[in-house]
Amino acid sequence: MTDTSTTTQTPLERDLAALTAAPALDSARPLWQQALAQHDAAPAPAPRSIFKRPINQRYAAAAGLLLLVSAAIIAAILPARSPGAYPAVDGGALSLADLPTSAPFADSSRSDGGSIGLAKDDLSRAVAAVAEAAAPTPVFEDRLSENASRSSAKAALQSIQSRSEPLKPTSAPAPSSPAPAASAPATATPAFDPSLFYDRLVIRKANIDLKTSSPSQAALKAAALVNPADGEFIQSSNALSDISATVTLRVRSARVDDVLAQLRALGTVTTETQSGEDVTDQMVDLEARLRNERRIETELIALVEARRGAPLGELMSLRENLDRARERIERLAAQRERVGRQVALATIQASFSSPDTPAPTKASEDTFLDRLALATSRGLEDFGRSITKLIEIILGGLLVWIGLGLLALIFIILFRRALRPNSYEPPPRA
Amino acid sequence: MPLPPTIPDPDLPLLQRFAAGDRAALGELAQRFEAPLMGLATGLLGPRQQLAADAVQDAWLRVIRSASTFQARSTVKTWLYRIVINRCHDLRSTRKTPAGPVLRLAEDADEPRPRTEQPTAEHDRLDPLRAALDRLKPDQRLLLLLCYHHDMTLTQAAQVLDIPVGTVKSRLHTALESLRKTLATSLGPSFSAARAHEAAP
Repeated sequence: MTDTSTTTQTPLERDLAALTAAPALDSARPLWQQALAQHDAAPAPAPRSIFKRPINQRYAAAAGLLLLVSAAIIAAILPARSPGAYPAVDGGALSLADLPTSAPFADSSRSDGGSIGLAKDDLSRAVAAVAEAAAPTPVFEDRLSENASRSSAKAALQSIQSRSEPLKPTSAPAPSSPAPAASAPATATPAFDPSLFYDRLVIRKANIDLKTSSPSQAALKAAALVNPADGEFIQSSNALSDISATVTLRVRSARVDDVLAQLRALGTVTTETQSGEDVTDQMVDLEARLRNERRIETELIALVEARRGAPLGELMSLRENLDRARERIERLAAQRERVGRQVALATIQASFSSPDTPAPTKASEDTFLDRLALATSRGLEDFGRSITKLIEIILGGLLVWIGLGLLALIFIILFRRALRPNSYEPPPRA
Repeated sequence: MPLPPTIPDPDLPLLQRFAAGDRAALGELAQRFEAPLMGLATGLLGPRQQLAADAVQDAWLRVIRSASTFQARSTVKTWLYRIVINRCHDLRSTRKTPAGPVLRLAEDADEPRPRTEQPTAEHDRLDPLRAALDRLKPDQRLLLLLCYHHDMTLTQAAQVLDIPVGTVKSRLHTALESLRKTLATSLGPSFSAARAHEAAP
């Protein structure tokens, strides 16, 4: 070895050199001549190659196999999303195919004419027609299903607002005996309106403060604005004082503007606020969960029927599950009723005071510092939520990412080896 | 690692002549390199001469087939050595050359002694060194054999391995240390005595 200060080699280095010392060769048949003869006897075969480079068949086969296995694993992990395999109802998901024939907003106990009833046969048919006409993709079906639930809820609302009977408190429906749609009154079956697809369900609230010379009289007049025939009522009233009076009205959402206008005529308005809470998504979610729970209940009932001769322990377990499912159904139905009532009837709080009464001070949250504190608090909460979400994403997907990374790494190594069988040999020239 | 343009490759005209159809040029090229290539193949594959001969013959076959496409991005010598080293790697992996000296000795008993004129005593003397080399990592073994091979320079070794000369030096140092440790472990006091003798002026 030259290029270095190895003019005086150590014994070890001399031994290393001896290991690769040039041997005396057989001069009768040099290797190059044998190679030449071999080449003459069998010319170079056409290279089996892709990308005009020689391929190491074993590595290429291993890389291909790895690719196939990876694809199979991914296909097994990812849920099938083809339109044919799209689940009708799965874990709360909604689908057109599973739209119920009974009203989603009313249960059997509410189909008595006083309920918030809605026959959904028409709705289902209309939604299906729209979906068919639009040749929907699964995503579009999702939207349609969601909008269908919204429209059904909205239509139910309309039915509430258009009927003359007062609302009656109802109990949770018996899930195993859904009411037939035909039992709903004809007036409670609104025609399908595509514009309802994009309407929202909003809980409306309004506050109005007025100055009047006679607060108690004004409060009485305000209380007279409710129309009990439409299910409207007076939620609370405090009109005992001549200095001030407060009345809280529950009126149909469609009549809020009208009632407010009449209230304004009772005095001088000092403060008036309105607010709305969009509960459309909540309603859709409730519908979906309720439908799913009912399906579970039906399946459990079928199981109990089928396993009548089963051991007592198994039957008891089935019964317990059934009870739990029914409990969840009742809870969800009650929740849905409550939200639906809030949407149907807006809340108007009217406060009357005499002109001598000092104006109420502004709410503390209106001051700059309080708003700043509130904003800071909300910002911190959002920050905490985002950090939590980030940790969820990282930890939840860590194994998947590591697995995919390893597979990709192995594939790249195999592919490179397949293309470069001789790591030190310069690539053949074209 | 391309050759600096100021240094002409003395073997390139021979390869070009062969590519043009002059078979004798390959003979001249072989006269320069066949024996050293055989020596390196023997070092890499062990004393089994036939395996080394196969590697070199395969390498010549590749040269014959690829001579017309050689673009002189490296010297002919570097190219030849790369081909032989790769063939040795392939043969070593496919024929599963035993790593341990015990197995090798058992195989040697079935094989005729190498065609080299290496005396038996010399051959046996180098057995511990071969065994120690076999225990090293393949990269280190190749580096040691290549750098101390025949008239190989560090620059040429770096070109063959396609790494910088500085890297060759550092890796060579590490490989030598590993080899010494391995020998000290296997030979014990006798190696220490040899080291002492080596250190003496």
